[in-house]
Amino acid sequence: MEDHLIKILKEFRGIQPDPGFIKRSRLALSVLPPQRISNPVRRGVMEAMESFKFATAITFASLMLFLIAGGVSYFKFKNSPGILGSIQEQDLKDEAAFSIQLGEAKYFEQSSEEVASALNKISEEKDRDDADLLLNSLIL
Amino acid sequence: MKIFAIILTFVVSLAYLNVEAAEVVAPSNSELKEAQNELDNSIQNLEDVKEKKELTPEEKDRLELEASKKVLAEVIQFSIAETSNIIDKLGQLTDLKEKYAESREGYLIILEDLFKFQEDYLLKLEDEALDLAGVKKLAVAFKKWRFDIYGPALRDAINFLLVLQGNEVLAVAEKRHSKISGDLKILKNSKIIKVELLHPILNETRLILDDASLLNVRANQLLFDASSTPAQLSGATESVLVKVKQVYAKFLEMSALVKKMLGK
Repeated sequence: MEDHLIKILKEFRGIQPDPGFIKRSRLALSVLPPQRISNPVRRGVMEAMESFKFATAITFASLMLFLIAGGVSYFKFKNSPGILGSIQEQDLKDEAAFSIQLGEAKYFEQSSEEVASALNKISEEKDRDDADLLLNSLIL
Repeated sequence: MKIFAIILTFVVSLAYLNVEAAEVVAPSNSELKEAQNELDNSIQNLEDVKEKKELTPEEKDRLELEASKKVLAEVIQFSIAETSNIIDKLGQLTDLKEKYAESREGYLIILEDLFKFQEDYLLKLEDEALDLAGVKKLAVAFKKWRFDIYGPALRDAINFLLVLQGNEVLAVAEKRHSKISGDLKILKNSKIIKVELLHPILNETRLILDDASLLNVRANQLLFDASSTPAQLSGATESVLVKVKQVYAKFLEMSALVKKMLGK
């Protein structure tokens, strides 16, 4: 039994790894993080490079986000006063443009008068404070 | 990471600023104005015909009939354009809450009926047997219809639109106020921008906005209150819009002041 085991162990001594396995393993080891570098100068350079890579990635991501989300706004903003962008004159005027719609409601007031007057001209009734004119005061 | 957060905040606030400026839609009355111009011309023509003295009574009747028919047709066309304008505005409303969406549908049904009535009325003018007395009768009947049916319906629809507009402009003005307020906080230690000169104006806008909000709540209540009168409703709504206008005048005053501080 013992002799048999020794025989098997001797056979194992002659076993060689598969060449493909060697290649794959070397490749895998090469991508592992490097071991701590003992030379302090070299270590500093390596750390600085790593940090630079991270910063570049962040900057690039920010730039992309900036361009996608606010590119147009940025150029608009660039031509503006810059400080206190919330009270840019043009933006305020754009927002206050609703007054035109308020004026539009008033327009119906006038038009009702004109329509009543035109109809009176056909029927030869006088432009008195008749129905349409009364209506005007109710519209606005 | 801190820089990233700052850039992100900057980007978001800029995008926000840009979106808000587009929220207000400018109205267009071009079709209405065109219809009104044509009506004015037809009225002038009718007056000219009536003043002509060199014509025989038959000729005068014939020309007056033609001119009167034209004026009545233009009046109806103008009225149709007016109805159509409001129908379009109601149709453009989006994202309405249930109660408002139901009202909008109600107004649309009524206005579509008015639209159809007027189109049918136009056809009456094509009757070959229609004489001057007939045209005059049609004119009187149309005026009565405009007073009894058309006017109140249109007035209600306009008031509805104005209430919704009040809600919208008030919300936009509130957002603008918050942004200005935020900017002033950021610039509180600035040597260029003297925020102490801007704060009193901003405080005034806060008071006006608070008043406008109360009036706007009232306007929305009146809109769904069957016992309210159209005059009450339009009065409240108009007050909201006038107050928001006052707020923007103050904002523009601040803008001018900042320009002055920047030496522009």
